[in-house]
Amino acid sequence: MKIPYTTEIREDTGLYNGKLGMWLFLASEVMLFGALFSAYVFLRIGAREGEWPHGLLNIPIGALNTLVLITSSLTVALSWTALKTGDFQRYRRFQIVTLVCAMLFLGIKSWEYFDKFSHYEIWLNKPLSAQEYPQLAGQSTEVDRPITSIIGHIEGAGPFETLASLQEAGTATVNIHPDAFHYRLSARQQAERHKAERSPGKVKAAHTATDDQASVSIDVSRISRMSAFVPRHGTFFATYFTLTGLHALHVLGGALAFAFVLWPGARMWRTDPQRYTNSVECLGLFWHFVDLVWIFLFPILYLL
Amino acid sequence: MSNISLSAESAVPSSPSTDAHEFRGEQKLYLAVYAVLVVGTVLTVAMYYVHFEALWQTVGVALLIAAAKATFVAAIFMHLWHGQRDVYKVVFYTVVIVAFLFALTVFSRFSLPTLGHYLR
Repeated sequence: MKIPYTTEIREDTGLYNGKLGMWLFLASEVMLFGALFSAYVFLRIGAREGEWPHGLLNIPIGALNTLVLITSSLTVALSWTALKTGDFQRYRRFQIVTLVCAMLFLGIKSWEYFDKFSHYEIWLNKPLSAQEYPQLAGQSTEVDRPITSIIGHIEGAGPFETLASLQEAGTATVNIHPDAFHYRLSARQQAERHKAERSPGKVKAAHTATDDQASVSIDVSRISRMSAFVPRHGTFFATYFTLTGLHALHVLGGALAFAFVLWPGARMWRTDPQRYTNSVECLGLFWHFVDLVWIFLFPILYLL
Repeated sequence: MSNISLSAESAVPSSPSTDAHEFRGEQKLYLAVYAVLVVGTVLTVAMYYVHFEALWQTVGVALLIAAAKATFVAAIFMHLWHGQRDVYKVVFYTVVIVAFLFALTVFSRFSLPTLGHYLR
């Protein structure tokens, strides 16, 4: 029993079935990502000024990821035209580049994630004064504004530490290297911070907070809550990891599908080249959609 | 572009030599779109350093750049440019439904319960 309309066009739709099916699937994916996007947007605009985390995502790395995915989209399109002209070796070369780009994207994402998992925020029982702790000047701006939490890397701590794990290990003090606003803020984020702190003159010094700041020793007993930058940390990271994690899973799935079609599935090129070309086209549609989602994700998460 | 037939749909395979000629132009188009997308990415990152007066301007410009990039990807890479009506129908109804759902969410904002300082 032969599967119908794998290469022949259906008269009523004007397409072969796989293409229409893939477009319908992409429509459902739009609903999925649309829902998550609107959730992020609502949480973002519902945050009061100065309360949404900024400077915690690496813009150049995100831009690099964007370029990597765009390049992979190009090579997918070019590999399809190579198949259409009957050049299987050219198709294979382009698809290998696509897979390399996919692995590069996932690798960069994993590095980003891992960097987050060992980056901590410590909330304190009683606020510290910025005058006593000048190293923490980057965490807040006005000299008299109390510091309620510290963001930074902790000496000797691996990923996923919590207050409970610290207490279990019997740690008495933590040395934290403060680096709030780790990455440079965008112009918009700086303006928002100005408005929130209401003292533009003093904000300038705060922006230069870097890892070079001397570490601060905090007694474990003064910590009320501690969290790495994991979904549990707060709304921002919960939605960030959900959106980018789901997207990364889509990238992985697409890459696996391409790899299957490229190696074990390549037998179909000898038996039914038209159908093989069509399957590559449909997978290409999915891949371009994944690229589209990232094109929207990048500015919304990293820039706004 | 209209003289390029998507011969994947025909049951008779075309010969490689005629296809190569047809698709040379198509490949150049892909490369041109790629250049546009790279420029768009550079613009998006450049936005980082420009301060707009109002929030809606920042969001508007960022989404405009993103939508322009998306249009290029959809039209050229995803072959929407070749205009198959049923694909257009699917895309159109998807956009309509998503816009409707977004509108529902946006307008629900005005009837959220007040729960203290977590919600405006």
